[in-house]
Amino acid sequence: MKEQPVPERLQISPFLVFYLVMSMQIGIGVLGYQRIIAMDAGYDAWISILFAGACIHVIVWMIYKIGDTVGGDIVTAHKYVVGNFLGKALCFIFIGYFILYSLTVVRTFIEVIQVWMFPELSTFWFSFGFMILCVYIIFGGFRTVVGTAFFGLVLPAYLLLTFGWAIKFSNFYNLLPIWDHSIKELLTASYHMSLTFIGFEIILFFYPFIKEPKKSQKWAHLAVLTTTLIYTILAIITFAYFSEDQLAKQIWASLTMWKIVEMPFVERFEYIGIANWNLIILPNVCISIWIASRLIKRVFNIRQKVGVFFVVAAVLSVIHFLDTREKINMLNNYVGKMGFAFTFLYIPLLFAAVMIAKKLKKGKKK
Amino acid sequence: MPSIHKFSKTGNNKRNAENDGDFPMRNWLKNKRIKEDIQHKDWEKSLIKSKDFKKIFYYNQKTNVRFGLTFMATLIDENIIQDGVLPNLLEEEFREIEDIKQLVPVADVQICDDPSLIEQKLLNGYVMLTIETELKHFGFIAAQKEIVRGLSQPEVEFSVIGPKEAFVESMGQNLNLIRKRLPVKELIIEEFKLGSLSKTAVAMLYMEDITNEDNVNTVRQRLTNVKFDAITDSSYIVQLISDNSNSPFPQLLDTERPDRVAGILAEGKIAIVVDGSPHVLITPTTLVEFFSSFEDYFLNWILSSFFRLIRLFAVAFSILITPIYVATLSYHYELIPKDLLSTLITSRREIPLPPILEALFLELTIELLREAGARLPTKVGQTIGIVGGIVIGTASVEAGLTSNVLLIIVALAALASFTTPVYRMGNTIRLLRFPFLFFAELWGLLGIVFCFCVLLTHLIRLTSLGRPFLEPLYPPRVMDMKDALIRLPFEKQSKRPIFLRTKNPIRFSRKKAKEKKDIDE
Amino acid sequence: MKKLILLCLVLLLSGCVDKEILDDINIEVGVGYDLADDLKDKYRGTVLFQEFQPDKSVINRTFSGSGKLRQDLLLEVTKQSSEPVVTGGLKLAVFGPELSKKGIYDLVDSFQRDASIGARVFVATSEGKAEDMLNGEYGTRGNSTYIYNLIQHNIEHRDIPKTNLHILANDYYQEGKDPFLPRLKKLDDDKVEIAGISLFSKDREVEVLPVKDMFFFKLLVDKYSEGNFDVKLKKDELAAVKSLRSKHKIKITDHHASITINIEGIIREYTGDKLASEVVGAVQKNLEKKVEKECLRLLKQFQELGIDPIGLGQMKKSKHRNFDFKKWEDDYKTLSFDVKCNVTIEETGVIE
Repeated sequence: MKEQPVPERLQISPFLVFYLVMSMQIGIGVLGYQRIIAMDAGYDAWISILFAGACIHVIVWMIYKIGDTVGGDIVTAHKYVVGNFLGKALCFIFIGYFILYSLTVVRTFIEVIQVWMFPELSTFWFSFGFMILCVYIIFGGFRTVVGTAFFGLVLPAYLLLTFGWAIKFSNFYNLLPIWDHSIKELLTASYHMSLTFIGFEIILFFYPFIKEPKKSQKWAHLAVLTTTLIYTILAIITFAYFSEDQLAKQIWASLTMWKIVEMPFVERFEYIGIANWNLIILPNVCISIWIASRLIKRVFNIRQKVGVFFVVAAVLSVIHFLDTREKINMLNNYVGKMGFAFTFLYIPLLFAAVMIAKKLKKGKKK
Repeated sequence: MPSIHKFSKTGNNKRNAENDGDFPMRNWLKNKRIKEDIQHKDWEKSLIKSKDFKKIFYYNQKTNVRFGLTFMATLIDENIIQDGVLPNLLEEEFREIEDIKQLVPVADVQICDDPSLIEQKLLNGYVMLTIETELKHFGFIAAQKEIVRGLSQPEVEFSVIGPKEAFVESMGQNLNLIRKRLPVKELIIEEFKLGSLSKTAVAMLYMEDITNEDNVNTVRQRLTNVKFDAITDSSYIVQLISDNSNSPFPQLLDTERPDRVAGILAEGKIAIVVDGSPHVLITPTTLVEFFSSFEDYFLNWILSSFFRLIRLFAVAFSILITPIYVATLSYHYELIPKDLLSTLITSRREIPLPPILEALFLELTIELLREAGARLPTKVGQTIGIVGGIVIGTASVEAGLTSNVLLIIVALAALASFTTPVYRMGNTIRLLRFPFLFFAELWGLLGIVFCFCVLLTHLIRLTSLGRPFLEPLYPPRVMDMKDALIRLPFEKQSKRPIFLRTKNPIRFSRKKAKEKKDIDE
Repeated sequence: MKKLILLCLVLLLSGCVDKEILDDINIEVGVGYDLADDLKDKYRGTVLFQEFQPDKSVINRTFSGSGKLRQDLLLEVTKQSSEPVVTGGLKLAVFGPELSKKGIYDLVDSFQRDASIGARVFVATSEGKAEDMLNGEYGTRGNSTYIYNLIQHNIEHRDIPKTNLHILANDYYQEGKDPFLPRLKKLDDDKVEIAGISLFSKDREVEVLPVKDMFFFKLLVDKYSEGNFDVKLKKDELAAVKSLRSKHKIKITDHHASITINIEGIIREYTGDKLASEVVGAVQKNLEKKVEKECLRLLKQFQELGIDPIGLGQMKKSKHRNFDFKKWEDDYKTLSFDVKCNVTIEETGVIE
């Protein structure tokens, strides 16, 4: 299929990349990541977060270099390196990856609702309704998806302030002494942050939709920086609020922290927070379905609308079978590992390959 | 070719249709001529059935030329004929059709030879002048009678301070009000005739060197593509040229105030005036404009920003409060502060209905009151409205059908929904409450957020004239926010809104407008 | 458009979720646990409900049952109640004395596991049976509201240190700190009073601090506190001091803990004649001495009992890497203390 440039009316301004990356990174991991990273690195895990964030900046830089060199998205990059057919075949994995990712996000969110709010909520029907909403959004075009990401970040931003109530009951001495764990433990914790942190790699997939992509690079870096800071601050507050063994038992530490919030007109805030979380994960699911269907279009030449239905059907058919905590946990771990492999292993590889291919092509031209 | 009949008003000019089977060519010619003749006289045939079709013949006193005046009596102003036209035609010398141009003191006098125009002109209030000696040409004299409602105060967009002129039904009058306020050559008025039966005159206004060409072309194209039979109001145009007619949100703003139209034309938007409608349409428009009343520009900017924020809060309150009540009482009792808990439980003790039915009952009652109040004549309507509201409210609480807490909430929500300055949006708000109620009943707070997501997506997808409806909220344009949710003082509004992509974005030179002085200078 | 219609139809078909309509449920507002009389059950629990009458008055209703788990109790209670029982409104949990001595960990864990129980629940021990405590008619707004407000304002302005379910769980799991709970006593059928502080070692109650020690305890435990104390001066004159602000600083070295307490207060009442500045100075000095003496005594008492409600272990850990809590347990026994107190009396009321 020939490379068609994306028409200008479908492209987005560069600064909107900030909202896209940030809303994709902040998803379902935020609710319970503190326990996972504290498992290895204890209360020094906030250092691991900063370290992971720094690594991500490097990866983002690489992504922009790739996009800049090949002038397109990941399919173009593959074609640049290994040719047409193989390039398309490699993308096949990513379709599966993003379908799994959207499945994970939806199922984990429904699990949270089932544990905290409505134990009898039917998994299938709620995800059906949710998927219809996602289809409605994606059919509005990429701009609608970006709009959802924008509002999914701006409107629930006040939730960050609600964690301030926990500070009253916190003891920041919990964090001392700093660097009480070995470097290996800290690195392991960084590794475990991966499911929470991934989301920035989507830039590779919508690169041609950005107007003047070079200008958007600083926004992408700003987004990763902000997310890292938010996660670090939240982790610090969590560590100060809970004692270590107490945190080890909290599956969803952020939600438990909301139990202490008390406002004059609302007695228990966590229900409002969880309901608002719907708005936060909506862009995550929409973006991944959009990417999956766009990859289907690029690889198989099927219309994107048909691709969307295919992805939605795949998610809905599998979601019913994930009914226990272990299965969901396993899925989360699996997707986390895949995400880690993709972002920290595959992208540098691709970067190297593109650079080599570029040098070779230059040599050939001469 | 009209034939002149001597002293006859009825046109019985039937030719016998001979069936001459032997000479097909001749028959064909005969039939053709018959058809032509009948065609030419068709207009007279159907017009004659109307009582107001008049045809009068006069003799010019000087030259003895006989001429006839044909007109629709209900459409013309008799005074123009009696005092202006007839004396000149009767007493002055004229022999040929061209003379009337100098004789008749009316500006719009045309001489045509195209018979197909006759019907149109006669029905538009022209008087047709025919001369016995002249068979090909005839003259049209404009003598329309304009019955216009006098200028009155705006009904919907009433403002305490500021001009109180409102548009009326006559397009000429309306255009006069607008031109008066923008006496520059850049103001262009293009006219279209829409509607196959109503032939309504629709005018498109824009400022030539400010408005974006694409917008103008789009509006022009959409207007010319309108296919409808009777267009009696600008609302028809709204629905026919909207981007998405399935959306409850209006995509064109309508206004009754000439000052508002002048303001938006200066911003670079396009106004559409429809003959017969006192509402002028404005396009392209955004969501935040529906919540700004023009009075905001007459008050101090701090006050008007505050009032705008109150309005937005009122709208959010009005849509969300009843669903939150239903959701909280049905699913989330833990959310209620413990002091309020006793009030709510005791108020609901006697009620046999679950919260959703209670809420629906009250909402429907309020809608009924509103609809009934709108249909009843003024004097009866007010009494029934007040008495009905109070009596029904109190009685339903006492009967134990609703709780008093819910009654207050619903009444406040209804009140809050009246704060929208634009009537169209107020109706939309009324409607929006019901899907939220439905979702609140289904999934509690989660349902409310879910429904909000659906609403948000719909708004993101909505476009007005191809421009995003949610601008400047999304895509976020900080520069445009200065007149969206708050209103900054005029000195800061030196640029036109970005989303209009105007040709000339600068309103006035800011540097010249504001010079900074030191304390003791 | 078609999608919206499809969405609506689908959602109508899907099952709704279970409703808990406000006036059709029985909200559990307080719960009390005692040891069961016969051995086959573990607990005897009392659940307190609030019923609101149309004239806004409240009827307290209690249901009691026995069982091995908290859920068994709820099940038994549900069998007797005309409306479904929900636990989201829980504000107060009381443990009887024998149960406190035996261990309360299971119940605390059960509270934590339940998503509908908030973190601001007040947990307390009682001097008599918890069942008797909840079976009274206190105040006009319901028993649990009464006791809840009682504890609440005593925390804010008087001598109870900050406590709630979250702090209890936090302290329990924290190595180097032991939890404590306020202790209630039922005086009459319509009165409840604070009777002291229960000190726990892990999850077993080991000691009860009397009311007169609560002021000092709060100074040691809470970083910033308010409290009240009477100071005896010579000539049998008494002055009542209300501390508006107090801060403590704890420094721990290997074998020594030194605690500095700063109190800013006002004199509320004075039984002598004239409150001259020498008298104020005397009050200050006497208070300082008293604080130092009592705090030292308390610290030694904790050391003997082997508990650490102030959290010295936790503080020591924050200064050292690779802290060994086993070693600390031995070190704690030989720790020496010194307490220094600085009192500033700011105002003395409207008259002199």
